[in-house]
Amino acid sequence: MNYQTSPIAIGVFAFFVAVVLGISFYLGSKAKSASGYYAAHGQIPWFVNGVAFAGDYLSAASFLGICGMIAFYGYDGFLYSIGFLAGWIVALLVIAEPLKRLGKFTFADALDSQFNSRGIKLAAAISTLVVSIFYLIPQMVGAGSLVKPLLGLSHSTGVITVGVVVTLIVVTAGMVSTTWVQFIKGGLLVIFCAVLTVMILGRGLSVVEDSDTTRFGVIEKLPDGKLSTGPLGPLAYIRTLEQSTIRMWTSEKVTQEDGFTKTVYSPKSVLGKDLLVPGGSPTFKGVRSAKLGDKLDFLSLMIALFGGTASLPHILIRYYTVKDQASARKSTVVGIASIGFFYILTLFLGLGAMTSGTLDVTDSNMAAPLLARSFGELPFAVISAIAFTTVLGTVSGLIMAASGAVAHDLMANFLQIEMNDYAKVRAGKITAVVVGVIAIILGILFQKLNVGFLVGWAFNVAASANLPALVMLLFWRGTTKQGITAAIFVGMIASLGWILLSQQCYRDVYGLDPANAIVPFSQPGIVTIPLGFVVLIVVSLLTRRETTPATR
Amino acid sequence: MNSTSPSTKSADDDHPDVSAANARSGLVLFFVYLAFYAGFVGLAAFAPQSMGQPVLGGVNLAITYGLALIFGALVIAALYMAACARNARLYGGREGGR
Repeated sequence: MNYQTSPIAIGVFAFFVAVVLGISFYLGSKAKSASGYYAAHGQIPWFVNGVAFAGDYLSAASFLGICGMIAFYGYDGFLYSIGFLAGWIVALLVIAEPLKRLGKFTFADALDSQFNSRGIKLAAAISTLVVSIFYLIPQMVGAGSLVKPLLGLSHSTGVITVGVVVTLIVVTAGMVSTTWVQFIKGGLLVIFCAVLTVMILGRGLSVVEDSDTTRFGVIEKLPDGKLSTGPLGPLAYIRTLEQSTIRMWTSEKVTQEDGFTKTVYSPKSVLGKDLLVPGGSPTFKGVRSAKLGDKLDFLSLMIALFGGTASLPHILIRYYTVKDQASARKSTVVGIASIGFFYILTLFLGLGAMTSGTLDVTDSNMAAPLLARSFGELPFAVISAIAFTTVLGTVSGLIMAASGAVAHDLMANFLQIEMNDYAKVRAGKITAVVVGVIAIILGILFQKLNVGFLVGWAFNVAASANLPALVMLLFWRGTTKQGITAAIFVGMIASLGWILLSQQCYRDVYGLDPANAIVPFSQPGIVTIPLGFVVLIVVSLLTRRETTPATR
Repeated sequence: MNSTSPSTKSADDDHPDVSAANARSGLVLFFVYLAFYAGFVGLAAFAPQSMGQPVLGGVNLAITYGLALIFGALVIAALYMAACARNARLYGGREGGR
């Protein structure tokens, strides 16, 4: 699809970026110490922290990826919404308060609080770096997707723009500016998506009678022979869509005589009721298969989403920006309310995009901004700019997590380099720049993948590497430092290795025949999360005499 | 390194008995929600045809159960807050810890 640059969109985007950077530079003077840079002095109000949780968590995957997946395949995108939200229950009920009690700047502090083990510090720091970088990829890919219609620039330019702005945010004021940027972004995202949902419901559903069969994502038939429904309530909107026929598409790769391969898209009429059940997307098609093996991908991803949220380092560090356990709990509840409300909205945004006739079938990540464009240039400009700040908020949190892992966990604690506060902050800032550059490079390399799918992998790695260690530390007195270290390394390496050998990687990353993939399904969590628990238990049993702490 | 911030000792909620009671309440609610979530995942994986059945005002089970899981998370969070407030009242005034 060809996009026209929108001057309004450029203006709104420039305004948003200027405000965000202005806040960062203003707050820069307040974050000179290590405690200020890495944990905002532990003085962020719980409500602000809760909304910042939403700003941190609702990434490009949540906004662009889920909306795009629902718009392209129907219900399957909503499975991510459900899994992403459900994971917060683990964070609230199991992890939040003990983590706050045990830690200081990073989740490695909590894991290591009873052991003083260099092995745990090293393992937790590497795990944080790997998960953060894995999670950075979809954010940067999302940024690259957005910049095409917004500024008329290439994918690479979009990735570089976001990389530079985010690195500036983190380098100027660390966790203080990151928190406020995430607070603003979280609030804006939820409010404007609610506005957009009201507009979708207000517009209702209409039959598009045109002879242009290359226009996909339109209603062909409404129930009772109606041509338009007028405004609909939320449940009536879904019910009507279930009873409608929608013009979707099929795609086929065709090799031309000159050897080049192109993708041909053909119209296909689909009943709404078939789009609003699981199993319509390539990712989850195994749900409709009779074979158990085909269902494992789905089960594995849903397990990883449930366990992954409470294992994400950039989420965990937010527990150190509030003053006590009660604030950690309250801010998590505020986060659940904001995030849950947003995920309900994603269903309507995705279905609205599916039926708005504005889809770009070559790029699922653009579904939400193009839906906004169907309401006019201003909604498009605002939603695109918010999507950019969405990327900024999440990426700044990820870079902060990586920065803390290197400067605090690796340099100060593992390598035991003597550093004063100033040197610690400087090391964190240098790390932020390096991670920013890595994120830019990866965002350019992985531009073809759906951002929602990529985040699913990040959840798998996080849950496999970190969840067993966190849970067993809190609930099993027999846990040893060797057990924690081994579980993190084995969980991380096993899940990463599995992903790299999966069918999805063969097809989308290496360009190889997916039938030759070594592992039987793409999502590793169902194997690698239990593996982490088993490794921790076995190693702890083998080493417990030396190191079991006296109290838990 | 000092691994525990001094400020975490101030609030009633940080009293060891309150923390322990909160952890117990959290685990009970966690398993309730886990069962609810597992039911959804199990139905989607092993009885996908049931997900298309109309349930709530004609809206199918897949959408209804999905929305219920999201609203259910809010309900569980509210119950946990209430349990923590009760635990603070019951155990917060005690001296010492375990």
